[in-house]
Amino acid sequence: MKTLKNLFKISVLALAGVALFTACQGEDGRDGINGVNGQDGQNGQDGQDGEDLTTEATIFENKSTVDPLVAMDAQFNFVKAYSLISSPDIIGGTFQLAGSADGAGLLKDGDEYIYVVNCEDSYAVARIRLDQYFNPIAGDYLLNSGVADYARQCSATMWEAAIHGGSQDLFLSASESINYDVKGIDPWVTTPTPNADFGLDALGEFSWENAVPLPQGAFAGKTVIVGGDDDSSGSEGQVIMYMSENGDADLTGGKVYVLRTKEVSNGAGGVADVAASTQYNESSFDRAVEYDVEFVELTNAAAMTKNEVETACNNVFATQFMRVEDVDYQKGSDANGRNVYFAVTGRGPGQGTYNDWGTIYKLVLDANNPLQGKLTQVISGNTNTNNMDGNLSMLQSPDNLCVTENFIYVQEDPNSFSRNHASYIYQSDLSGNNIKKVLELVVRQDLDPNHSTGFSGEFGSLIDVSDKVGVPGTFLLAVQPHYWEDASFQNLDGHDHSAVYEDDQASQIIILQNLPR
Amino acid sequence: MKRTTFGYNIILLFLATLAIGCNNPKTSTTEKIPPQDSWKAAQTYYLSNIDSALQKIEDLDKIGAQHPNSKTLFTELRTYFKKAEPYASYLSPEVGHKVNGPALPVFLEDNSRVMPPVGLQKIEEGIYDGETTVADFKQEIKVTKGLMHVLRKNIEKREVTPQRFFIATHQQLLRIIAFSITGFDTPVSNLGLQEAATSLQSLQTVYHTTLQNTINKKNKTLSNSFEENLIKAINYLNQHTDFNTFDRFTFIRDYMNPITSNWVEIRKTSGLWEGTQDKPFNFDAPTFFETNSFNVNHFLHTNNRFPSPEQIALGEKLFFDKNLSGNGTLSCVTCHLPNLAYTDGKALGLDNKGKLLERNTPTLINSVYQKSFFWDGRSRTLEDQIASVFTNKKEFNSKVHQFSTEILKDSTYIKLFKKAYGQIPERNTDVVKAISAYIGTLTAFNSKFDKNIRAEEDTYTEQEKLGFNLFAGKALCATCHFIPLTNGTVPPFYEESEREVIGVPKTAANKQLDEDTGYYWLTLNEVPIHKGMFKTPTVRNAEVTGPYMHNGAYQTLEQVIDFYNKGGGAGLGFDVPHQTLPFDNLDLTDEEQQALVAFMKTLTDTTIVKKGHY
Repeated sequence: MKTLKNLFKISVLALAGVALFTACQGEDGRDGINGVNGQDGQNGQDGQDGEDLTTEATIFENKSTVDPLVAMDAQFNFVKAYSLISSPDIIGGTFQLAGSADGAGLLKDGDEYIYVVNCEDSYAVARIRLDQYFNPIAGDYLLNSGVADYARQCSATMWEAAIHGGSQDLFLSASESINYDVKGIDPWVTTPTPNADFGLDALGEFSWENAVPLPQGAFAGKTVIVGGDDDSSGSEGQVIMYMSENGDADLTGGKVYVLRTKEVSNGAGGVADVAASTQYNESSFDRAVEYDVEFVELTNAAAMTKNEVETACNNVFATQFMRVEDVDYQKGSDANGRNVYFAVTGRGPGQGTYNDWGTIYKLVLDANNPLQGKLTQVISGNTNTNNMDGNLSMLQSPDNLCVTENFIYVQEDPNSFSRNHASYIYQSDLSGNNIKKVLELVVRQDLDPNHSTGFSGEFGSLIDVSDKVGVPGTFLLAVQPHYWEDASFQNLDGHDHSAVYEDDQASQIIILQNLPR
Repeated sequence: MKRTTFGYNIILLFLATLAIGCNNPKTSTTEKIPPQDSWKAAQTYYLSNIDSALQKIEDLDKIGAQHPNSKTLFTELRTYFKKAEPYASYLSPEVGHKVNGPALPVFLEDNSRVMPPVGLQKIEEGIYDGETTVADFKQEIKVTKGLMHVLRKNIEKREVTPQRFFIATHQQLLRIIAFSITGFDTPVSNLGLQEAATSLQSLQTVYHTTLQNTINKKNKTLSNSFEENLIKAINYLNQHTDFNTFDRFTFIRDYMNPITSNWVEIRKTSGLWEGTQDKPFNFDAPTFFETNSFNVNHFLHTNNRFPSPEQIALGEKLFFDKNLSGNGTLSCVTCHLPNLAYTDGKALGLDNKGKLLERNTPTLINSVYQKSFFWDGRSRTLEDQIASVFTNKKEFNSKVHQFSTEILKDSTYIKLFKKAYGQIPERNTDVVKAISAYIGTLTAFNSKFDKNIRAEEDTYTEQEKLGFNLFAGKALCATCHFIPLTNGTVPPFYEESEREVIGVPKTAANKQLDEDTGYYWLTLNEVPIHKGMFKTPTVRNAEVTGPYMHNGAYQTLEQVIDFYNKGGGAGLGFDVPHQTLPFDNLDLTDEEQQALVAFMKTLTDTTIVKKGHY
């Protein structure tokens, strides 16, 4: 692979030389008389071997054969994108990454790294080993479609013992259907058991989109996991909290809570107390106004089915959001870890709902009690729909979030409804101000089997890996180029799910260099 | 809100046990109502049957679709599944529906992908029609098996409680009426009548292990009556096995209704569970055909449940007020006229300039019992539907959430709003809620059909009875227009309103396919299976709600029946590659067609009893 690439560089240089010569043309002279062919010359002496080509090993180069499927915005020309892995790449002789890469986490293993990523539409979770320069060297599957139940794994978060507490790392992978659970998968397992159950029953059954543990210092002695319920039926979407007071890594003995607002808009920009025994949804919140909220317990939630949980949510008047997708928290300090953000994807136009284009919320949890907090809608695409108080008229279906110390990054999924542009990633400050487009997903018609495609593609996770690689501004971005389909991308998880049933999309993982934190 | 929770039930159970213990301390050990292990026995029963079903599907996998024993194995597989189904599908509705739902491709909304059909009904096609390859059949089995393992896991994990048991049983009793005897879940094999008997036998077995002792002691007559009625119904099913001639009307009226009535009494007598307001059913209704069998509050938007009489009264006044619309020309009642069952009697509605709208105005009676609104089903709640009328430029043409201060010129509104919501609203959210609450009161179940099937009167003619039996049988109407509501909201969960592609023509001349693509526009990537897809409407009040279909193409019910009898649009020769009708044509005689029309005319009830609540 490497040799090939070097050859390619050399030929590019050679080509440049030719271009240079041909560029220096003189004035047009008169046509001369045709000359006679000269004699053939003799072969010259063989040259000596030149010096070995040496390149400095680096993370920041295309590791994959396919260029990164993102285009940086001009205002972010200082950020560089490199492709790390694409589905056609064969890693370690046998492994290929399955389609629709979504939630992910990175762990450091000595000089090397382990990247774990959900492959949503392939019902699988892949684990890829990277060397110290991020060259992929091996891969396997921690979960595969052998479970034969159509349960898609969406977003995910790596529980890292060093950050979140306890002694064990655990990949928390969310199931939005069929099993409705959060799967806790050991990222270090020597021999994967890809058909196992993995369900963390204590967290409760929801249409889980992501389950995000807060750093252990955010609430000392407590385990706090905030999750999103990507549901649009019955109870609609909830913000979920799992909380245990039995130490900072208790995944079995905690209780399940859902967000319920204590205040709503008074309709004139002010704040009013909620009416008793009344359920509210997002339409009762004005953007950039802070409301007191609480988390209310779902009694005995772990014993309930998903439908029973929905009923219980309504019975406690849980506040409804139009499909809660991703959750993240501000980085940088324990106190920042109490500032939680979540994305609500919206429902699309023309259906009369309370959130057409999507919203982003900031939830500041009380330092002394994670069950109390203040909620502010910081970004909204509903500029001329719903409450008409949006601040980002381009926004279409925010699906994933990455929050750093200073910025919110919002990733779009315009596959259910769109504003006719490709999937974007935006950057805003922590209050939703100064929103700028960072990059967009490149839609390559040549990779579509029909050579014609709409804006079909979305982003999976964007994770900040700066601290692990020791280079500030280093991120890994999972891309789902839905248009890039080929039969060779089926059955990559080592489990034959048949041509009819098996998804045929590719994935790509991208390294971003110098993205502001 | 007095809503039941598990904690509350446990306390109830505890108190009941305690109370009985105190009343009769000497025999307290024998008097105890169901000991914990009896519910465990029910769980074991469901588990062992899903295990047997899994064993049968393994066996089927080995022999394939075309083996001489395939049909026998499949029948056994379904029998075991039916026995486990009440609890399996209660715990995991979505998975249960995948295992035993229609063999149709499934559209995944969030990634716009169409998944091929799976489940027992797909496997059934392979075995009975031979429409499969060896590899496809194996794959269908594998996925179905995977889903059944999910069901098994939950049965094993979730203990049976009185609440779960009573809800699950209620759902299965409805499945017998809505699915088994109509052929809905055994469209090719016609095993439905047999499976109705299986479900009843299964209920009897579980009753013996759980409640029988208790009920025997408290009300032996009730217990005996229940068992006798079960046996009678099972015998009736065993004696009448022909799908086309099965007398569904008699079976429901004389055999099923007594069982469901007994069951309500048994639940009340047990004292174990008092019912709940948060399910589609009124658990106290003795049959599925009462005026209050369905719980309106469950169907309303969760933000608008249990509206007050003041809110409903406000909604009613608003319903008639033209000042709600931007130019003051339209009110709700402009198109939804009470004397026409809240339709307008026109093929197409008229907009705020008097021009034709795109689609037919539907009835509002019983419209609350739906999970999607508009003909293309684009709104998921009544609130969303009403809000869309406000923002539609051709209809009310007001801005989003814009509260019409025009209406306040009628000063009585000030008082009404204050009584209903405590204040004059700044946005029209409360206006939408109030109208929605009012529309929730527009329910009517006192048609000739209802009164006769409840055995309140005996006025049904032979023709009308034949019509019902065809509707729920040979003519396959009830596989989309589900009994008893006859709309497309799928029992027993009522979480989804179905849409179908039937190929409606542009006019009654049946010469040309209508150009309206329906639901197709709503999905971003224009999925071919959605072309020409429309929501299944109610058949109730069809007599008075013509013209028919989304475009009002047909003037008479006879034309509608003729359309289906010929096989819908595809049968008329139109290009409808993804038509979802479960038949090519119906082969109905003239007499049968007339009987169907006669039956539909017994579904008329437009008398809205003024209610301040549900």
